[in-house]
Formats: sequence, C-alpha cells, structure tokens
Amino acid sequence: MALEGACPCCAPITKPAILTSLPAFQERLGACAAYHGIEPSRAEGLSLAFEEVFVNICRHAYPEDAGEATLTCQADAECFVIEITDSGPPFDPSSVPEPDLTGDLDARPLGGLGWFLIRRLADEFECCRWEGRNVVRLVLHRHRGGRA
Amino acid sequence: MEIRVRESAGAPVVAVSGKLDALSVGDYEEAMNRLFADGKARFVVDFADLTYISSAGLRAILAAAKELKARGGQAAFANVRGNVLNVIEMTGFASILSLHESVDAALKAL
Repeated sequence: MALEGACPCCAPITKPAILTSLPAFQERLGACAAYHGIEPSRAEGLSLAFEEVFVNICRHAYPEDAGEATLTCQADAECFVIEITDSGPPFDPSSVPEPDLTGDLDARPLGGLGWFLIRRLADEFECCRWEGRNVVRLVLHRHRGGRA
Repeated sequence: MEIRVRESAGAPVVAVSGKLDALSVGDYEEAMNRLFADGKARFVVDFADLTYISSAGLRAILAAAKELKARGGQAAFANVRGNVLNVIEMTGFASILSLHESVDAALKAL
C-alpha cells in the first residue's frame, strides 16, 4: 500500500521511552488524526491502543539502558496508519495469551488486557522486526468493514 | 486527572475527571488506599467527567474491587459513558462491576 498523505504534522516524532513522554506522543497522534479527518472517537481509540504499545515499550524494551520510541503517522484515501518503533530486543506479541473476559471478580487476573485492547481498537494490527527495530503498525480504515 | 472526594448520604463519592492512564493511575491508587486506610469499604466512584481509561486504569479498578470484596465492601460506579463505557464493556468489566446511571442510583445500591 502506498501511503502518500504526509502532512505537516506527520513527521516522525522520537521521544525517550518513559511514561512522561506519553502526552506528547498522543498529542501528535490526535493532531495528525484530526488533520486527516479521522472521527474523534475512533482517533481516541487508536490513541488508547498507542498507550498500550508505548507502555509495553517503556516497561520491557530497555531493561538496562534508556531508550527511545518513534511514532510515525501516515494516511491515504482509505487508511490512517501509525507505526511505533523501538530498538529493544525482539518482541513477539503473538506469544501474549488472549485474556479470559468471562470470569467473575475472583477469577479475573490483574493485567493482561493491553494487547487485547490493541487488537480490538485497530482495524489491522501487525508486528515485525525491521532493521534491528520492533515495528508495531496499527491501521484504521476510513470506512468500517475494510478497504475492499 | 483530578480526584475529588465528598460525602453523600453517609458514603464517600469519589469523582474522577480527565484521563485515567498509565501516567495518572498512581493518583487513583493513592485515593483508593486512602479510603481503605480510613476504613471506608463502601463508596461510589463517579466517572461522569472521566474521558479516557486504559488498561492501567482497568487494572487499578480491578485491584480495588478485589480489595473491597476481601473487606466485605463494594464500590458502585456511576455515570460510566462514552469511550470509557466502551472499554469497560469491551473488556468484560461491565459484568464484574456495579454500574449505575447516576450517583443517587449508585448510592442506593451500596
């Protein structure tokens, strides 16, 4: 898919992978989504998915040293796409089990909902290792029901 | 995020506004711990002005609910709306939390 919709706000943003960087990333994501006409409630869902990815990077990508994360937003006529990258060790979220959402209060474990939310809030979710970096790619379709 | 606690009909009402995310969740946990330390085991949490919740917030809500159950108490949630309600329902939390349409209704449920 060719993404040609770079806008003035779409330049990659790189910040330290620490929780206090979260508002700056989400502000950029929100501004970019608004520029490209993404419905606010869907943009907010994507912003939440971003938090879940970013918190995971903050907690797991750089156990020894300080590191950075980079957010890139792009759009075309059909999709709005964000990519979050880090240079931590390889991470495969497919190894994270699906949570059981049916248990009662006693049965529900603390945590384990982050990757579930990411999968639910993005229309497409991909992870890969590219040039020594973990890449998480989240896609919103402009028209619900897919691009086809 | 801002948290204000007031008393109504003999029970604390905890009004949470803004974003309950990984950055602010510590303040929420602190407010819960303060209520526990004061011996409060039945209270209302008013989410009327809460605009955003992430898994960090859900985790804190679940931890507090488990603690309250162990103490023989309960929290009743009022005015859970919009994207916050969407996340609560998506994660199955609607079936384990006591949700109500108003603070008054939540107070009556305690």
